[in-house]
Amino acid sequence: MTIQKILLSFEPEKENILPLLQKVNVHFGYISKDDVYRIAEYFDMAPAKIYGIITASEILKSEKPSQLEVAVCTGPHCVIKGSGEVLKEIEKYLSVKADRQADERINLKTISCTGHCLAGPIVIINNNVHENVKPAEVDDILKDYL
Amino acid sequence: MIKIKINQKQYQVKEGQRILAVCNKYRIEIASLCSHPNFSDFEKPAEQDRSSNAVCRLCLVKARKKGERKYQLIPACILKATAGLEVITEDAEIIRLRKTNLELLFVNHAGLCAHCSKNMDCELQNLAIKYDIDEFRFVPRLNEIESNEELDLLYEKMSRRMIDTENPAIVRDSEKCIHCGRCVDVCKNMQGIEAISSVGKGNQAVVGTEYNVPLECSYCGQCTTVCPSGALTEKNEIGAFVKAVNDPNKTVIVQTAPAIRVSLGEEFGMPPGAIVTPKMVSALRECGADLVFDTNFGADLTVMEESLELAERIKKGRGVLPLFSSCCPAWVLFLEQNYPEFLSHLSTVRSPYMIVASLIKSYYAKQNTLNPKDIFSVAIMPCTAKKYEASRAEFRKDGVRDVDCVLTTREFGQLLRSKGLKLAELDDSEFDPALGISTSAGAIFGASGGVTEATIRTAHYLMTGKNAKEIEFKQARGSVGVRLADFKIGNFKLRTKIVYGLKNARKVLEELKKGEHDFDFLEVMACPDGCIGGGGQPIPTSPKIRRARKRAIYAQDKNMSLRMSHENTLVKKIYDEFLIAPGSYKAKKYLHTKYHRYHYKWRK
Amino acid sequence: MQETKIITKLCGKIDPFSIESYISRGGYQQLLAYLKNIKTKKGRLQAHKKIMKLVEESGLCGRGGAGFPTGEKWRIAYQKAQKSRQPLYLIVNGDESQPGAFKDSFLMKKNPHLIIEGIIILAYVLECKKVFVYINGTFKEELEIMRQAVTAAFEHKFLGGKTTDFKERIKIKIIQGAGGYIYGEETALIDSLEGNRGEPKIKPPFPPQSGYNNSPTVVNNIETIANLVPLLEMGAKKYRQLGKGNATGTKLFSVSGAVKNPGVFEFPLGTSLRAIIYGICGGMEKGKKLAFVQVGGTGDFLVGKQLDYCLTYEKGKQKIPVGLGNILVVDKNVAVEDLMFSWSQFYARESCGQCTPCREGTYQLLKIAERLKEKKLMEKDYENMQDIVEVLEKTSLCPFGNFAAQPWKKVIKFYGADFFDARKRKK
Repeated sequence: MTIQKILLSFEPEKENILPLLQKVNVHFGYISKDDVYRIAEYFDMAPAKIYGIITASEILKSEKPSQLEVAVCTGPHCVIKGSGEVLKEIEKYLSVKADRQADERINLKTISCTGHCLAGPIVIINNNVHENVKPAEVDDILKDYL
Repeated sequence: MIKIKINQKQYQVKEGQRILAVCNKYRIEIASLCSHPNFSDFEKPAEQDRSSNAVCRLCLVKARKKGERKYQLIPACILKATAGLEVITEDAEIIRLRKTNLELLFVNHAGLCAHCSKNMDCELQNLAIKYDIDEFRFVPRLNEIESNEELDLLYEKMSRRMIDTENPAIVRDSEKCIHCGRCVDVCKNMQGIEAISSVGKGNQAVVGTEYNVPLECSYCGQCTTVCPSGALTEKNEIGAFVKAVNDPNKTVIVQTAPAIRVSLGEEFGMPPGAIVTPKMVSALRECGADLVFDTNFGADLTVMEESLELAERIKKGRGVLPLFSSCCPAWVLFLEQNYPEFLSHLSTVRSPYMIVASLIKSYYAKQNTLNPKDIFSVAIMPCTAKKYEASRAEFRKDGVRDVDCVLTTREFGQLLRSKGLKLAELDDSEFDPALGISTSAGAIFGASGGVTEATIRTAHYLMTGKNAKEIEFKQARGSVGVRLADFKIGNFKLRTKIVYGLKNARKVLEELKKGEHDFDFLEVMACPDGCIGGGGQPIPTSPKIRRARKRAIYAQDKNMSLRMSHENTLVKKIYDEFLIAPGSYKAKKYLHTKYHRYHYKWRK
Repeated sequence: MQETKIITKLCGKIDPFSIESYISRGGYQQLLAYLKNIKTKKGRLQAHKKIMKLVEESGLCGRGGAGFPTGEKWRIAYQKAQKSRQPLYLIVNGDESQPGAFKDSFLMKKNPHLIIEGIIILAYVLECKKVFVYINGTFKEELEIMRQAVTAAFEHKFLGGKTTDFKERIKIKIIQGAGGYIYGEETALIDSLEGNRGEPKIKPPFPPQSGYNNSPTVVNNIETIANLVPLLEMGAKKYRQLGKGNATGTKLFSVSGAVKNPGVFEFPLGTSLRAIIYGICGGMEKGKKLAFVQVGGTGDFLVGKQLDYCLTYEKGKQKIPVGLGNILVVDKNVAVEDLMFSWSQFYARESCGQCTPCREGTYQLLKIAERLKEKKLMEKDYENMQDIVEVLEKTSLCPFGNFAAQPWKKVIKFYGADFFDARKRKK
């Protein structure tokens, strides 16, 4: 689907801006600069404002995601369940530090609570949720993605 | 009127008025970095106003409504006056809270003051001094950049800090930004452009553009007049001016805009509206200008050409109506960017300073056998958009720019201060007569409605063959953003619309798009109250200050003997000697310009 | 102690994807009964009065944390809409994103039609044509279930039409939220729906007066809405008997942390922590010792006798503010520093970045937490922390700033000021 087609599936009304951004984000994996200008034109909104909405959101991405997107929950519950150790293992395995500048290949970041607390610690890799992750399992899980 | 108490003292105020505005009026100082008198809701907010959001949290006061026992902390900018309200603007707790918040804001500024162009003229700095913030106990949120490598990385990854020097008019340095949101507010609520917005969230939040592209707006510069720190400033061109002055081969010719002479004094502590024309001219000579011309003269020529254009469009049906004024470069650019379909409505006459500039490098150069390349043409303007306009390709002949450098009122003040010149102590001097004789029709260009009034004065003469009995067309004056004014010219009723603020202009254009229009002439100025509220004018600005400037403009008009452009002897002389007649091919060449749909540079 | 299953009665017993399984268990009966009553204008007004009275009498209050009386909220908005002739909007807040809260997600996954039925009845009562259900953007499964539930309700013609006096067809729009804690704040949520960044706004005006598109707007939590159908079934008197004092009805508790059986449980308000943790949750996990319990996000660190206080919306002695009903059980193996870092990180990340104390203050607190964790506290950190906590509490724009200050306040309250001294950088 092209951006044009996605745009035309929405009425250019303010309440549709968020659903539209969600759709573009899911479809292309992120919302590119060009797309922002197209959306801005269609909705008759300022591009800066749309970018503001995108960057305020945890889900919408303004940059192309890395090949390997790893998110480790460090919310209070997961911390109690030992996500600190899991994060350390992952940092060691990928030899990158969490929450530093991402590169094309790897983006390792920490997140705060996704509501899956019962199954903590939670690790989300390329949108797949891994539950009850133990430090010892990190190698096995990550191996599949590399 | 109701009674309220502020710091135990009683005041009579309007019900619903904001306490910050009340305190402002009675000179009770309250620290505030996000509210601004320029905002429409500063005095009295609409009933369900949700646009303003008290975000700086510095103007907190303690207030107790009638019948309440306890005082509550509430921002003065949203606190509305109700009968019997009691307010405490400062006590130990309030000072402590303000200080902590200020310190939090000031962290990112550590060590930046000395080389900031706003140094000593900065609201944030003033507050820091007042609240005695001298130690930095917190960690900067936006890190300073240490190496070029880091810089590349930041640009590449579009990280939080951004210095935009690429656009022609405004410098934006996000490191100095304290996220008060004033610029976002004026850009959205005054100009309706929203070139900048809050970006990111939490500890990544900054004010910025989409994907950190350089600003590509109308360059009105209103954001620079409200920015409380040095994050948004005009692109400084003092260096270029000084260099030209020091170059023996260059003849430096300066012209000054009508709105400068009633505001420049503020840069030197004079009250708003002080008329400083003779001192300003001599200050320019002190700075090394070889000649000083008057933009008002250009305005007279603008009037000649524009009133002819209007008369022809009305009488002979040449071209479309309504006719749009073209004196404001921000308005012209706004139209080119957003409404290219209306460009045929735009008067083709250049703005006054471009007319003078054009004549300097053609007529004047020829008369005095000067090479245009050796002339350094400077314009002192109340405007940042003129900096952009001067860079336009249309205003360039054989690679030579018509205007080489535009300085704002603020930069001019800075230049004088750096030379140790005190405006009040200078002798009086006059404009050089070659291109320096003007009527007061040119002088009133500085206020919103002035272009219309000046044009009508001459159009009346053109259309009826005689001058109007009463030449002060007061219906053109006023301080509302959108005004309708009708003029009787002989048997003809000329309907005009006078607008300031691009958001207002957008509304008018949208109506026009639907085919609804009840006017023949549209004057638009991007800035509040016209050029006297321009983006390059002295800081602070407020409706009150602008009223004083406006009064001075109209006082000038009253005191001059020549008040109509067609009576200007110099205008007649130039037409006779050089331009032939209004609307001639030569006038078209030197006094008119072309417009085109704007192509965004950084959007691809 | 057994659960008191009022709103979770059918959870686990029906298929969330099948409207039939809900109907077969008595679902949508309340709606159908209501629809029968509102065929004429007179009937509709009577039914409106009856339900408003019922809800006000029941003492039901908002389950989103603040505990505002639900009936009053509806009344204010309804009266304002009638007076100003503006449309009334209903927004159902499913943007559950406080750490350790997962009861709305549980409800949506287990019994979506209970929520939809409540929404439709309420929409009729308030004469509301358009309902938004704003669901946390990361809840993929819940979104899918809710979307299907709305479609099914539509297909079964539950969303109205011409058979009643209220001729409009009610539109229920499921919105995938932008993802972020701040969108749970009602004015931020409305701002987001209006196509903005989602920043909290100054109150007043409160949403029932002026909310979405400046119209009167009712924002209710998912759980609050889920209370409506059971309330209609049992009547105000019986409902009031659940709970304690003025805090009536049941509450869903999300229990997480070091207990044997974490999960979502329903108990009457006024229940004690001990009854939950050592009752249905089966006590502490094997080999773990209780350090303290936190309720409602960043509440007090509770130990000992405090576990017997009652969880309620009322204020007073020996009462624990229940908030969203999330209970975090912390054991002694957990380093408090790690927990503090986790909370600080959460708040620094989730602040909307609008007002000074919150944007800058939460960042400074995060930096202090970082140093705390690495045992490298600086001389002035304690004093700095106290100053920041003060401005967060007293000067921030929305309640979020106050929340962000709580972990620090609570840790000092629990461990005393020398908590910092022991963790300073060794000289």
